Amino acid sequence: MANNYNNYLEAYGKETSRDAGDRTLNYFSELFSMEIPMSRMMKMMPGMVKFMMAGKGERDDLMKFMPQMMPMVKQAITGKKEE
Amino acid sequence: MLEQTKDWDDDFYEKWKPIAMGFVNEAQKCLQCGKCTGQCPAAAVTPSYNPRKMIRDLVNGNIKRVLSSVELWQCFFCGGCYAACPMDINFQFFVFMLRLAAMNEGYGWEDVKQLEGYAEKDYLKNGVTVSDFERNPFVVDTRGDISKIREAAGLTSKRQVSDRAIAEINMLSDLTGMTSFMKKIGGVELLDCRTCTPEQEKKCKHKPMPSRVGKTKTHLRFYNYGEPGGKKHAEA
Repeated sequence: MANNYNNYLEAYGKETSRDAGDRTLNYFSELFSMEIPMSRMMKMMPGMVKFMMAGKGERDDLMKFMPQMMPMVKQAITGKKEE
Repeated sequence: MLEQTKDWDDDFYEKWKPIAMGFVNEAQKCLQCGKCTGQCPAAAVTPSYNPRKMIRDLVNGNIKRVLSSVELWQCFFCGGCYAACPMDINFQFFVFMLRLAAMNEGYGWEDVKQLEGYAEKDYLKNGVTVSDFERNPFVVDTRGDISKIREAAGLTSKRQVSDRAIAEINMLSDLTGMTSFMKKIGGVELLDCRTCTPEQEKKCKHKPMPSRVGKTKTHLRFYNYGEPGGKKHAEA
């Protein structure tokens, strides 16, 4: 894939820096959001399962960590933030 | 094509600071003294690379120029700029954050795409971050193979990572979203420098890039801060 632009001003065309900046700000506000959506929570599951399958010690460690995880899991499922 | 006022967004930096969780706090203190650039090893070999100009563009809001630049990808996080900076500006954090932003704009994917091979072949399988099959030929010629050096030092030829650590790496990779990110970007064929043919070398120099990554349309980058080794366009 090649673009035929000579410089970045041509590549961005009529878009202002404010447009690009707003896009960037939206991206970061989503990226650094403390809320974990359901989709992201589902992506986390295979890793935890893999870790549990690795051995008994790992399973015990993860179970100890579960109480700390539960509020986040609840929040992801219900979409409500606990006060 | 000349720059216009629309190419600058004064508010961007101030808006970004609270979102960026303290990663980009100090840029407004920059004196533009250029110590960062003066001591930079990347700038020494690539005259167009200039941390000072990038901080200036970030604070003054020329976000288009920073994000679409090749120079943003030339930092290798040695930290010399942070050590030299009289105002304690941590420029590496800026680079880290700006690269994420650049990827969101569709720039830099030809470099990032190569990481998938490392992740699949090495990092997630055996926990080693440096590929055994991709070595700097100069180092191999002058210093010898690292596995032989390790053996001479009484270590195993390859670094051993325990099963538990590998399981943990895999879990962390899934938890942080790295695995899904790697799947999204897809991979490219990683070439072995020791057995590289001229055809492969040609392929290596022209890195393949997908036209899209997820919803993001990819673009090629520009030398926005001057051409490497040349004076043309150097005065950005």
